[in-house]
Amino acid sequence: MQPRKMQNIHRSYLKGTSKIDAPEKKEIEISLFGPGYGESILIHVGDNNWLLIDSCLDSVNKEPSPIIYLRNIGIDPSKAIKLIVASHWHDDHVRGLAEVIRQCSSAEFVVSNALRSKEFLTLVYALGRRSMMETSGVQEFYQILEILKERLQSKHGNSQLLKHAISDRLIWRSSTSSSAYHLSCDVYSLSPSDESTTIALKNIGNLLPVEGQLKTRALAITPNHAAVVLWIKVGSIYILLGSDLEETDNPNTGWSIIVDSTTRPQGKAVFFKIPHHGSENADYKPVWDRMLIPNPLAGLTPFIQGNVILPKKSDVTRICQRTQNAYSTALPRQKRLRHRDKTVEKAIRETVKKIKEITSSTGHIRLRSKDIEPPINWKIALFGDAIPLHEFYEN
Amino acid sequence: MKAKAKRNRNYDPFQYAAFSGSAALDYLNLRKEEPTAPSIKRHFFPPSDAPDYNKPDWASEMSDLENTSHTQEIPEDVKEVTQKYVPNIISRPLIKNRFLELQKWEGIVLQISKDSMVARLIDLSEKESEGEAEFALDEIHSDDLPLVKPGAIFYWTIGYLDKGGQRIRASIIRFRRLPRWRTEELDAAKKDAEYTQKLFKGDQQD
Repeated sequence: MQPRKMQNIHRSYLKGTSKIDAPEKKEIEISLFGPGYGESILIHVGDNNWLLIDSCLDSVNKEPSPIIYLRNIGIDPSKAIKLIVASHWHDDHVRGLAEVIRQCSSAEFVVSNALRSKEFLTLVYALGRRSMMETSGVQEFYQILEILKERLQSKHGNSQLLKHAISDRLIWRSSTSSSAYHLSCDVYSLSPSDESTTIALKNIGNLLPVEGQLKTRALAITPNHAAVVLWIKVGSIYILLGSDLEETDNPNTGWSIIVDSTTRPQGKAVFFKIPHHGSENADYKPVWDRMLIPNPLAGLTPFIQGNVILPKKSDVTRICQRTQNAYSTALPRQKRLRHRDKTVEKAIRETVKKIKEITSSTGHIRLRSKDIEPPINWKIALFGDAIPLHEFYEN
Repeated sequence: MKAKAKRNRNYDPFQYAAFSGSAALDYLNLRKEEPTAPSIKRHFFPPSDAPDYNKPDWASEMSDLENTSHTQEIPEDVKEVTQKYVPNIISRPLIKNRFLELQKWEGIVLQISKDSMVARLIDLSEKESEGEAEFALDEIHSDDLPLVKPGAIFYWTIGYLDKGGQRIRASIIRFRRLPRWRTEELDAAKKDAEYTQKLFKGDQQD
């Protein structure tokens, strides 16, 4: 693959982000964090108002990456974060989210409509109450619900604590302000559709334990019909965040129904968070044609688990054909486990066929612009392991 | 015997899984004056002049001694007999089977193939890193094989097993035997879910 020229890219190979500044008050910022397993998106919509979508843990200190970042640039997350969205309940999207919600008491919290169901809540209370594993999506939701219940009972924090996202719904709007730095901002959820919700409920119902069954941990369901796709309008800029939504054969679910919807907000997005780590089954060409500007900025977080590495080489090729401005937060490298005692090393070698570390340093793609109307001059900065996508398999 | 005793104030014979009658007697005797450890002879066979062990009945004496306080006066003849005739094969300080843990992971089964399983590992020793490993199913004990399912939790421990005076390097995979779901637990979860749903419904505007 030929190297491409990209404009205004600042690459920082410094570990961490302690030496970077906060955006100006009227500057838009889109930050995508990904440690190789997990993702989180932080968006500055002007006047120190931030939106947070999903959460991942920093690979070094195991705290939520967006919280660390905000503190490092001198911003108090408890005041700055106005909206928190859990795009779905899989581990790689909600790690540390309970801690974020605990710290950000004034933020509104939005989850998929499918997750308000009795089925999901039963799953959360059955599996989440008892710690079966260090990290678990349902356990994170259990903690979140406990925090929200406590707030509701004490009437502390925001009066409307839990909102639900469904297709084509306005879920958040920036409050009117006379501040010179104020930018108008609307956040719409474009999914799940009604039929997706029904299927998601059925799938969640299948995960519910039954009497006499051995206890195990709930694993992720695929395809993820409950995923929340977001459409964000800041000034005259549109942003499309694809969550983990996959395309299916059913035109009433997945990306088809979003693209074909006549009730969704119209426009063409300048930034696309590529869904489901760039996998082929999440790709739907009409999204690029009808919802995005030509050659948009795009970011993805890789998924490295078991024998699965996303995006695959073919995915990288396909995405790079659609845009020359695609980035990844992390590399697909498979690290060996860190150095241990010789005896341990020897026993590891004798016991396993293969072993590797999941986490690398948390990569961070940061886009900033002072323009709120096209043409937009983005300043792009890559931190940690973040790279232009075409370099993904070059290392 | 007293003169032979090594001075070791940290010595505690009760840390041994089984200690010899002579060691016990030494301990009990010396404890009255100072906490010194007995010298322990390491012979695998009794002295050639050892009489029939049934005469005197040292075993019954030991039985009584175990129920006495540490300050009880031991008759001189009992001490003499025990010191002399207790077979030294049991005078060796036998240490309990012990596992010295060097590294421990918690694992969750992600994928299973014909002869292997892939699992996510969380380092419980340092809680620093996560890993993934592929294990041959041959590494799993046959009793645990029925438990190998996606979502199953196991512990993988590496360490030394001290057994019978030998140190063995060990890698142990043990599947967590989580109990089966009970009706009461499921009913409680449903009840909590209904309550929470009701609670937040009141908070909804939609």
